[in-house]
Amino acid sequence: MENKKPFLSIIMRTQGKRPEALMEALLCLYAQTDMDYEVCLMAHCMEKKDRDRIQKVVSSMPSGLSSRIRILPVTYGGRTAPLHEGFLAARGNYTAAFDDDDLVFEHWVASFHELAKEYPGKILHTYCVQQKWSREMTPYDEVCYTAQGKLQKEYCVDFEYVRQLCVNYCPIHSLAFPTKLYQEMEIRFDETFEVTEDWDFLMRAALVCGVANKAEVTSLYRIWGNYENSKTLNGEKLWEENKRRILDKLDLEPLILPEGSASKIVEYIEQNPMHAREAKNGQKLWMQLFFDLGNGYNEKESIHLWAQIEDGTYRAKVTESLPKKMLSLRIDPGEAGMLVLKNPVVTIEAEDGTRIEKIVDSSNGYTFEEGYLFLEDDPQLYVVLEEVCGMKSLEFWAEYSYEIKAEILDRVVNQLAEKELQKRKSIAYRCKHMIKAVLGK
Amino acid sequence: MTIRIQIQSVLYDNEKSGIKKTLESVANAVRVAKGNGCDLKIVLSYGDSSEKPLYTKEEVEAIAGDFAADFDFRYRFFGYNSGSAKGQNELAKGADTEYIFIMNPDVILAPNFFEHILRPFEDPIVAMVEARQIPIEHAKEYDPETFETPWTTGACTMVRTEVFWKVDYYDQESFFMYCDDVDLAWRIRMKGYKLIYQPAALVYHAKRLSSKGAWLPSQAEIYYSAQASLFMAYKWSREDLLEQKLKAYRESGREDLQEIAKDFERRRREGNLPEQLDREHRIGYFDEGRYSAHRFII
Repeated sequence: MENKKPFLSIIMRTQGKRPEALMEALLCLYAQTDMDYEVCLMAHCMEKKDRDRIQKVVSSMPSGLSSRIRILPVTYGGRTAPLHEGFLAARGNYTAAFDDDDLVFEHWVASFHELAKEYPGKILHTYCVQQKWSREMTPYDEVCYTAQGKLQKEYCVDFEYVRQLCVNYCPIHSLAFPTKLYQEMEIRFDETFEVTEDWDFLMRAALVCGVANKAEVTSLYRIWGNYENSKTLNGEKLWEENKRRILDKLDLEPLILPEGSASKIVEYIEQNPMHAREAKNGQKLWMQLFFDLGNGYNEKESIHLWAQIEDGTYRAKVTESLPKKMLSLRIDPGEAGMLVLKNPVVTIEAEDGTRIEKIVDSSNGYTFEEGYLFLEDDPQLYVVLEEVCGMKSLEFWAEYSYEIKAEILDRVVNQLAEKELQKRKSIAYRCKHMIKAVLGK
Repeated sequence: MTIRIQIQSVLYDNEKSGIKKTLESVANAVRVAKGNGCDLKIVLSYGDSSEKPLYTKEEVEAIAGDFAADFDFRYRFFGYNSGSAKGQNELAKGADTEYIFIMNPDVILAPNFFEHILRPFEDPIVAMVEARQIPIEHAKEYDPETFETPWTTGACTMVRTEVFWKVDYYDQESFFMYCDDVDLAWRIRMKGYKLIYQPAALVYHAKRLSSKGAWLPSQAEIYYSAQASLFMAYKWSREDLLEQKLKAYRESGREDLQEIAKDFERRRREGNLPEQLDREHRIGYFDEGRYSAHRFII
């Protein structure tokens, strides 16, 4: 092992806090069909008892795996420090990071190896599924982890530079980097990032050596429901701030984009439904639901989902991530205005199987008899849901149109005129009383 | 006190490199358990359903020698394709251990597997314990307090040998592959025993997903699951479902399903179907091809 340079160096960050998860990650590595790898287990800022614990886990693994593991202590820095030290210590031709709370499939290394043979020198990218997991205690007082949700497939897409600027579709363990990129070309992780350090690194590295994709699911990203990881610990706000920083850094210099990017840019601008002025039949719209749990509407207590446009109707259904109870719901059906939604209704299926239909209470648009007209961008609808408990699913449905008919405009204008008239009447009435009062004195 | 366990798998043209890894993981888990003071005696028994034997006599002797300190290795070439139910029954009939761990041959045990899988058996009413599989965990529902589960998968389940005998093993006449495990678990529950899901007992079980992240059932899985679902519906007294399925198979336009329906009807005419159970529907659960509530759909 010491004399032979392995194909892959696997950098595994651990703080020794979850030895059960570490064992799961190591078992995944032992199961690899291609064993041409070494493991650098980065023991990050840990006390002796934690170090002893990870040593015990490593020693318990079959020798076919434990002999490939180097435990390397890192005594400084944040999340990026062990990555940096690991990438420097890597002996393999390629280097991949695989954190101690995720899982990989048995052909993870083999898929990278095949890609590297086909595209030597490029960054290697395979697909990843996400799944909600939680930490539990068994009736026998043992710590265990269990899956709690269906497999989410957003990361089952190729790396595309332009798209990747908006959202990180490539979790770190879906990638392997040429080791030379780090050790010789000195393209490094930015240690000032507390999170999204991998995204920042990938965006800079991809400009240098490009990315080769393999449409094969080889890893699973665990979204922890009741246990801390970098995302839950640091919060969405920090992730958003870091995204801005990544873009700011890229904005400092001209970008030379990979081949095919010009068409991609046009495609995204013209067809990205988030920004589409008119959604076509059969198209999907990216929408957002905000849950007021007593804190008002905020990004943290919201979810994004796709709505389906079909035969003049707008339909969106959510069956996961629903709170048990909420005060009210805000529906953002898209970003673009100049939109008519008629007869909007929210249907809720409770856990006991009962169905409740709620009509929309108000909006930030203009109301007419059958619905709402939104002339401005950022349309929003509001539904009071105080009495609903234990939601299993929530569906929003409306008749949908970008065709704003003259009669609707007339009705809205008449309403506005009526409101204006009432307002003026009210002012006149108050003035009259004030004058009378003064004259009366 | 020595705890005796027979680990058994039915082989069918498996990769020897994969089997070697499984053997090493079993040996390693035995060493870890013994190192922690657990007195184990393990028999590892393979039944080979392949057309030609996977191992020569010399290879079997070499494996037995390599792992002699960890387990007693037994290999038997069936000479016919037994399917999982019959193959597992054949292996179980020779068991002289308190427990049998039924597993797929591509399962890899975690180092601390034995200490966790054995814990629930401290309760004598527990007859079967299922390990947790990674990277894709089984989605079956379990009780969040007791971890009781309605059935356990034949991919990685430990069963008390005497209970396995008591219910007359897997129903090999009705099930070739698939649902044999559900049927066995339900029959064991009918006897009043409990089944436990034990997520702390960990195994790696190889799975592949499509590039879109969807489940990729093999042709054999599709065929034998469809066949088994007819026997499940009949045996567990759900004639309504059985007739629906038969009609759907007949009208599917798919030759394989039509053949399955024909074969079932022939057996029905010949009176060659299993005894019907659970007329009051206290045990059986049928929901769109699933035999228990699921926590999520893959």
